[in-house]
Amino acid sequence: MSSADTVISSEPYLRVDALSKAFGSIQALDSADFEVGHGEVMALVGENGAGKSTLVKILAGMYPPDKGRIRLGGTDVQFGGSTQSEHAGIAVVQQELSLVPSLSVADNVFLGDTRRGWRTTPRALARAAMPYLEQVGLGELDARAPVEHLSVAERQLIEVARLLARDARVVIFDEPTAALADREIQRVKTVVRALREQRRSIIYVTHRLDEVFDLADRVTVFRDGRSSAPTPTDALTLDQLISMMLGGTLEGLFPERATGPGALVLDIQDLLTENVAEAVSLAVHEGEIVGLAGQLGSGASDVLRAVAGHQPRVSGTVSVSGHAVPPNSPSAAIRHGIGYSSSDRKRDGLFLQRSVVENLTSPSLGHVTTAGWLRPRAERSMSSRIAETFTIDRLRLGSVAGALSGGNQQKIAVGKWTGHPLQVLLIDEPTRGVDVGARAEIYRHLRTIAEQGTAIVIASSDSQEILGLADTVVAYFKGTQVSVRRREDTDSLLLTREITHPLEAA
Amino acid sequence: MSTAEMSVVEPSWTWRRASVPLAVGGAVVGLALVGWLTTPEFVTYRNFQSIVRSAALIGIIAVTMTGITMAGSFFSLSVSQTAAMAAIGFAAFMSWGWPVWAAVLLTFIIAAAVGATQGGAVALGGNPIVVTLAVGAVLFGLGAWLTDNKTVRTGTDAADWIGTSRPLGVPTQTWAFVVITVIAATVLARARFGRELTLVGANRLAAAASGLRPGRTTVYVFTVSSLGAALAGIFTASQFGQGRLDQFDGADIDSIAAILVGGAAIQGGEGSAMRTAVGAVFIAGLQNLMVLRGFSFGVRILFVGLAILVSVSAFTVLRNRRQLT
Repeated sequence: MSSADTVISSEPYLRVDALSKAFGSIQALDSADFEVGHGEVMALVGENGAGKSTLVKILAGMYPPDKGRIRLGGTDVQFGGSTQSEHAGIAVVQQELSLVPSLSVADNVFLGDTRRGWRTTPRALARAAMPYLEQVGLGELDARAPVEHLSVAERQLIEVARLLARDARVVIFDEPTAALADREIQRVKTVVRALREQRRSIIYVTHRLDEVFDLADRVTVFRDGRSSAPTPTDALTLDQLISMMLGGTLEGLFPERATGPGALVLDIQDLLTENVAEAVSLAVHEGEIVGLAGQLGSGASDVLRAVAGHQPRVSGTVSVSGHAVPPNSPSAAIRHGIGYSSSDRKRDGLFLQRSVVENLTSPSLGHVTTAGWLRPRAERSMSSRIAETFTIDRLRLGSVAGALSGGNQQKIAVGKWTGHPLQVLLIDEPTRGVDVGARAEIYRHLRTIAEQGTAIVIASSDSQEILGLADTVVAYFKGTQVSVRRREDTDSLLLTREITHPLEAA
Repeated sequence: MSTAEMSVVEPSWTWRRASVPLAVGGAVVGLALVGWLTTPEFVTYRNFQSIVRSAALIGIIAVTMTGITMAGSFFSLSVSQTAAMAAIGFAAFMSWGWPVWAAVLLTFIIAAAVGATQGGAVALGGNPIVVTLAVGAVLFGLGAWLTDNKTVRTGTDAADWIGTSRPLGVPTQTWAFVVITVIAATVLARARFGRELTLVGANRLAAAASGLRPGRTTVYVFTVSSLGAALAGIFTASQFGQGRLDQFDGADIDSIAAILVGGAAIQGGEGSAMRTAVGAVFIAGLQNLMVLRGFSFGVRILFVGLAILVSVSAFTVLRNRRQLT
């Protein structure tokens, strides 16, 4: 829906020209252009790693760009830090909320607002916050209550109220609805429309394409750090938008597919867990790679976590080669031959300050121990075997894991499971924060492990990754398993529809 | 989006990696130099022996507590009360005419239970500082109530040999300090248990995800620390033929200082029994030097506090330089 009465002025309010930013060998932004006008909602879409977040962070003053120009209201601006960007009137509604849970709603609305002295009483502060809360549809809220008891959507709206209190002219929503239920999404959308009425400039970053057509006036597609020309949403179909996002396929990135899969290994029956709305059943065979495709919050990651014992199962059974795996215990899952690599390797995948060797052998200590004592030679040979399989530089085995590149860290987080015989390998986001070269290697290694008889399940929000790697493709959308298809029976158009907009696909 | 990460090829020995042991060694050499320049009697063989003897008890407590720090549970603040209660209990058992082995065994069993309880409470999510502070208070109160604040005498010399004999001319306490340090260093470097506690301290979530048992490990390290404190208590009770509630006052701050001067990472995942032992010698040497210089108790506490402050800041800076995470 693009409102016909929206007037887009000739000179856009915010304009970005030829912006570039590299992180080490990764070119996150490659001469990208972007603009948003007064009273306009500009959607920003693209696959993971396309450069959206980098653009947002540069606009928020968190990174300086390597090259390029940012113009705001007709003058060139440069941000030395997030405070300067804020003062220029740019505000970001973060994916990770930045409210202080123990403070009151009103305190949070005026958080970091230096114009307000600290002599104000809670009552006066609550009164001052009220107009902003009303603008975001939270007029009925007790502004003196602490934020911690509020829902995620309400907190997000309070963030918006905070931006309004600062009179932000450019409001950036960074995947605001990823963690929200349908009814709450409506509230966010209402607020976005209200902000447009106030002639503010809105940048709306999203993975959900239905929202693009529903909210945005125009859309800019990012791919591999480059930008498309802004396109009015009226002039686009869903299929056109999807093909703009996907572009050409990544030739040579993915290995050859498997010879036929073998016996049933992992059997998931009627599994229900947090963020999964409908019971999931799934069978994975020896040598097979199953890809669970879905956006953040789709439930795909939750299925993996529940199978690996990292989050409680509400109901359902999991068995490996006919043996039932008890719930809620990562170590029981490991004993049944299940390895699990999470999407956040720094949180629970790696021991960053310990050596690569210690990381690689950590799940297999029992295999390098005799009578309670470690066998250094066995440990060395196990880790150099993994290092060889996963092309980790053997000279680096003694280094602390934290000193390695993102790609090498990911190889460790996945490779460590191959130290002992493994039946099932579950990997959430196998290549997050990994450059293209290391991605290709990881894909090849996964195929090798599968050919040795391991059943592999990956969850990914990158549909190209799923299509390139998986033998069986499973689509998830908002907690529901939408479809299970053999790779040859699906394509990027169908899959992208299923994980962004399944109703229209049906 | 991925962050920029540097790739540095590191050989197995580098100045960066050796910085922590070098700093610990440097502190001891520095202390010896200062002592030598200011106080001639500080650098004599006799005085060295005396330093090592006084380092022994703190060293035993500190080395056995190093596991707690490395496993990410900071410190135990109940070790001085545990040691004092062990001394009182041991003295009481002896005064009842029990054989030495039975008195030792029961003291250790009770200490193990007290340690395991604290470990269990921490494993269930209790803050280790709060849990051990509370247990220390309970032990102190229990001791005050049971002994009526009086000294408990063994009333026999059957156990004196534990605290006073000198095999090969070296006091038993020093032997125990050396042997325990060697065992602890070997366990930390070579045993599966040592590896597990290091990994649990380095990243508790990753350890659980790798199938290790952080809770069980926590119970074990607290039990070991409690046993170490009890051993110190038994040594003191048998040396002086008595147990008293205030016998180990200051032992907790001294042993924590030893661990920190030894460069263990407060947040866990890094440390060494050998360096803690050197830290204990440093603290004992510092105390000894200050006593020789006639410093008052208050001033001595001040310098121990400063040693903690300086070492914590210095090691934090060294680590941050060394690691790019």
